[in-house]
Amino acid sequence: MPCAASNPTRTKGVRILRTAKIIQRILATVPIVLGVVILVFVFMRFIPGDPVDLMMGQSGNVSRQEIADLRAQFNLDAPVYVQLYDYLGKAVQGNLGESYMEKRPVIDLIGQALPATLELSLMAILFALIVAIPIGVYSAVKQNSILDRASMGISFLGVSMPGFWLGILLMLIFSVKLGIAPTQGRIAYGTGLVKVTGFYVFDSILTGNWAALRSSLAHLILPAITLGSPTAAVVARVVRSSMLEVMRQDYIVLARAKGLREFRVVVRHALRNALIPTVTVLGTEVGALLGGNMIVETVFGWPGLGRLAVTAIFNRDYPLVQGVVMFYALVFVMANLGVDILYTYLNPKISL
Amino acid sequence: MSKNNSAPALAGPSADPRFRAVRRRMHRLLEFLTELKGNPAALIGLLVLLFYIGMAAFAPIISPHSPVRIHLDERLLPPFWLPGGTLNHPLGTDVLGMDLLSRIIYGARISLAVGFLSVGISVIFGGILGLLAGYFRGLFDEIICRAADLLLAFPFLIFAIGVMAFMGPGFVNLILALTFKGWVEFFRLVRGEVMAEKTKEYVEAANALGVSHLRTILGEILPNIIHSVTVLGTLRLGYMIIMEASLSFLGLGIQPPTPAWGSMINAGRDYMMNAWWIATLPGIALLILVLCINLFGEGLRDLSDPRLKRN
Repeated sequence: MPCAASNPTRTKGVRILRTAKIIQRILATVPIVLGVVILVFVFMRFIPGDPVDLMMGQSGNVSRQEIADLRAQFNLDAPVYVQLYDYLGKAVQGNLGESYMEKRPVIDLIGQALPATLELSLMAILFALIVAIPIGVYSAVKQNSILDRASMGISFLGVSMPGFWLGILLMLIFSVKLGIAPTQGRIAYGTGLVKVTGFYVFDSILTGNWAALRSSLAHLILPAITLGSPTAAVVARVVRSSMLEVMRQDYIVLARAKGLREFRVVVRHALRNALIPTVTVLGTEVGALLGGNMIVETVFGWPGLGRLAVTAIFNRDYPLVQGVVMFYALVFVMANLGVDILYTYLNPKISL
Repeated sequence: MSKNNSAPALAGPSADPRFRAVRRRMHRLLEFLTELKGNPAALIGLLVLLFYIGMAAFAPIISPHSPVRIHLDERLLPPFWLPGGTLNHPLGTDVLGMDLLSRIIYGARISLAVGFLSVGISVIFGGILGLLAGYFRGLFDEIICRAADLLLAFPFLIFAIGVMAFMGPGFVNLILALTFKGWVEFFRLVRGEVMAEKTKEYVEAANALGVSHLRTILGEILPNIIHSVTVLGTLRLGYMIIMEASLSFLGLGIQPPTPAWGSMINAGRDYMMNAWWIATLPGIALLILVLCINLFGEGLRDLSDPRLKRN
């Protein structure tokens, strides 16, 4: 019987359908992105007192003329829709305004803090997957065993645990009591790391600086565990339940009947299919990771986007807050778009 | 046959429709509690939640001290089981000498109030919009759906942090920030359920009988979807409490000296070396509450999901 892959007309049809779906999905993202920018902009305009008042508040006595000049400079004397149009035009070119505090373009500050956040987030995802997938698989294979119950109990705890408190707890145990991990920052002073990409782990491998590698990994481990734990808990539960579902399917019975080794049945046949729902969950987890970043970076003094935003909030540096919030939302939208596209490729039901 | 026989017995107080409604409700509650007995984790969750509610309600009676009383001569006292600790301050004191146990007890008020209020308002707001949008569809539905999509583009905590940054800290602003996005999930749930229910025969029958739209929505559809709203509401309660604690931890929520667990943990961070209890103990109170709410929520979901029941 010809299957989908061996029928050229059908394969072509599937490809066209899939491409149409992807294009439709990308187009649906455009109004969302526009809406996000407009919403954040409108929120900015709701703050009592305009940005110039805030700036003046910091610099003491100024004349009315200076205030008027500044208003004109920031285009604040124009009607709101003109300001919005102006802002959108600049945002498209990557110009998100200038930070009041740092007196530098917001986009530069975001670019500077981004590698630290990305490095932490990637490590957190890596930690979550490395821990969660084996636990989920094992729990499903040995359903109702003591280990299954224990790991599901721990994962339930992980879902209910406030991230900032877990970070403090880890710091208390591993830094304060045991003294085996640093508490703050990304790297120890004096390692002489030459920054190439801004990803310290990668940079230290690139330049062969092993002292810097050790230091950056030691700094990374606790924040990554803190940030990755809730994701690990969710992923472990999803992998377990989808593995349980998959293991009941006929093709698993067939694989076993063929006399394949259990490991091969579990990993090659069951896990590959059970990972599809996990991809969807990872999409929603990106949101949790982004939010978690703000908390974890604050707890561990990690110089990334989250800390940049929190510091900006306390400095009332609104263009920076606006820029970072918008950036986070756009990353979230894009991550979900990416997951949806990946899902259309992974899920055989969609491609048929 | 038996119906006819029992009819005379119903004459008297039980014939009163109000009495019957109360009896039906009591019966349902009993049934629910019996079912919950089969799920010990959920039952424990409910009991602990009730314990916390009691603790919050009777905080002035049960807390040994005022939660904001400063006693600089009693600063950083350890819990009673550690050397130097006293039973006068069973869980020790913080950097200003404020009694930690009293602050934790009062902190439950903030957490539960923010949790219940933000979930409650989200349920009402999202529920009404969902009922209307799902039932009438059309342009109204389209507009609300787009607004919901837009809000979903923001991760929850980022959105709440952004709103708090612009509005400033405080109890009311905190509730607003959490409900501003919190309604979306209830809206989507209710809308979806209403759309599914609308195709069922009982709604068609109500329409054919000329029952008004409002009566159909409130009297026919709402009772059928209230279960799933309750389950989601319970699960979101724990989440909102964590959100409140996170915002207070960042200094954007409830401000000290008002006792809120998040800000207490934040205040304890600087004293981890010599007074670990300040940051640790409020966190345990928070963890236990959220854990038990989630246990109860999952138990409720298992009870209301017939598929899981069959399994």
